[in-house]
Amino acid sequence: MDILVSHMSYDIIEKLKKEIEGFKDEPKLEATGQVVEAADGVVKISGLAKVMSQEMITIETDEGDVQAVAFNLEETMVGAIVLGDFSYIKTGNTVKLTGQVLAIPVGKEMVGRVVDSLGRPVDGKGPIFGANVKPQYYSVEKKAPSVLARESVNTPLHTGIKAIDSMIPIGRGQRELIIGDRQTGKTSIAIDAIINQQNDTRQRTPICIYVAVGQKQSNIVKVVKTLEAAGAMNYTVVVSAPASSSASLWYLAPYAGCAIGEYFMDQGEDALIIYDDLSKQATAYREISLLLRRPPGREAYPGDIFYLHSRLLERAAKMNKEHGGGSLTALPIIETQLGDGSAYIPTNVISITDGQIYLESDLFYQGIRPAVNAGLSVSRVGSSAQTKAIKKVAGKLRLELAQFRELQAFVQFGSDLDEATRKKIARGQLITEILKQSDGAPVSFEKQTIIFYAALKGYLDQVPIEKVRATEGKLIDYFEKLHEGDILKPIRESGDLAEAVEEKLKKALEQFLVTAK
Amino acid sequence: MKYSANIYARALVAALDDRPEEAAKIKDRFLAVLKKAGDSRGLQAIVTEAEKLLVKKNGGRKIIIESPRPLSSKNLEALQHSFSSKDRIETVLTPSLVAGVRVTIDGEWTIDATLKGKLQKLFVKN
Repeated sequence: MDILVSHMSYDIIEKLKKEIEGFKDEPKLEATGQVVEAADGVVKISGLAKVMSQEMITIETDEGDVQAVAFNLEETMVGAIVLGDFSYIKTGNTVKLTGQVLAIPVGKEMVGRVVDSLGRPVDGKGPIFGANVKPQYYSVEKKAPSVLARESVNTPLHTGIKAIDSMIPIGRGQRELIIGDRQTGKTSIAIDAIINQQNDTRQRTPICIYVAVGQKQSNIVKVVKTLEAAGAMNYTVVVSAPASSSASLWYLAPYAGCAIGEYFMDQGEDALIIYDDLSKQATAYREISLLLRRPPGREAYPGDIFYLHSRLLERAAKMNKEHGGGSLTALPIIETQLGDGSAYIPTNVISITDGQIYLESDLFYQGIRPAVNAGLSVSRVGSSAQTKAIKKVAGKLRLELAQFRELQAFVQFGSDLDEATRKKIARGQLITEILKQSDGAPVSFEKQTIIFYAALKGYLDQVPIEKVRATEGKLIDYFEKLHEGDILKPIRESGDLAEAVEEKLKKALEQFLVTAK
Repeated sequence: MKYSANIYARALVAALDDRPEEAAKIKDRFLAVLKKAGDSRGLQAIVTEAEKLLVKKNGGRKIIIESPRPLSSKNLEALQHSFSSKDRIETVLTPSLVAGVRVTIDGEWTIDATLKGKLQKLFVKN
């Protein structure tokens, strides 16, 4: 054993000797600077004559090198945000340039991993890239694809949530905002959307990226465990900037996630990115800007707060075939205060995105979950990104719900209404009940087709409202067991409800109603 | 600080330029202004900036030569010959450099010929 150890030591010493002998270093003139001020994660540096905006710089401290990003290029000073532990930094520390703008390593190896805003693993599973693998580096800040490189959004992205896939359809390459107060189910919608991607076998499964900004570590762990249990981590990357990390990392996390998504888009694949949430990123950017003494504007946000979000969200696109045909779909989340969708940041992001899903606390407390306000929610891409089957059966859903909302005030006068009005109210109540869905239980689009067909063609009109959810469960169970091959499979594979399949569907529904009695 | 060190330094240098014969009085009045503004603690930074400006005004550069041990007169002379007579050269002892010298020009450019620098590059490479 002693001989083995001394043999290994000898090998190591010889290796080091060769490295040192082979090491060549010519002293050269380097641009440097000195830390003049350091506080709260922000440093002011004098010197650095040739620094680029957003360039990575290295601060040499007694405890080792700390990375920072040059943010403010002033006349005599450079303001930088620190990416590491800023408690090590002292005035007088030397600062060196790296010559590179901020970039993170990206690659297929990141799938299934949890990383931080700089692409470093934080899940305890070891390095992401093997010793022999040289990862590609993608800039965190990048120009969005041009108009000519894009094509129209025409492929659906199913979230598995009935209320969304029927009335607010999302397409691959779209930006759809999820907006609502705290605890209204915003993250649940996002997680269900990720989990459902494996159910949509008609399209290639997109790589999903979940960016957690400023959340509790326990929440992030919960999300990862939920995705693992559902088998979704096989195609998901989680970018984590928890509440305990610095404002710089909160600010960078969405851009880092976007860089990862762009890598997959450039490979010709589809990607889905969820920013949870951009309100916290705006808060972090405000904090950094105020510390850097940038002039505050409305609500103390810096003047370029719109640009912060617009340049991020514009990078989501559907690329044309000449540019690989990939896509990056973005689902940004914004938290409102007391339902105020007309505040500064929410209105900014609403004007950038291609639609919004509005969640309301009132609906949530009434038991309507997901608490989607169908009247205020919209998808500007619309039915061009909707599966034909769903379009066929759920075309009138929005209208029926709108009519029900108009008549809802008269529900209490049930006995004084005419037959047509009573029918509309009953239909509206049925649809409201049908659109309710449990958390973590996304429904594939072919099953949604069956449910909407049954509800809107009157097959469920005689079912008491309190039994609708249970009946829906039995209906799906019935079709899964008895009509997988002749009804569900053709719808799933073709994406359409053909006439022959529709006839079989009608017969199956009639049979179900007989057996259900 | 009420104003940045650079602004104070520029004001001081401009005042000295206008009335060089009253240098001592200007110095006393400047210290009084700093005390009144509550910025006396920034004096060191202001002096450094002022020195930089004065040297630059005379067409020279501020050179800082750092070494782990005091340089011999021969080595110092050799280094001084590398620069112009208008440059202001300052030597600083920094034992952590281990061996060699590090030359900083105007606080913006550095030539690192120290053993510490080489070791850092060697370990980063590996």
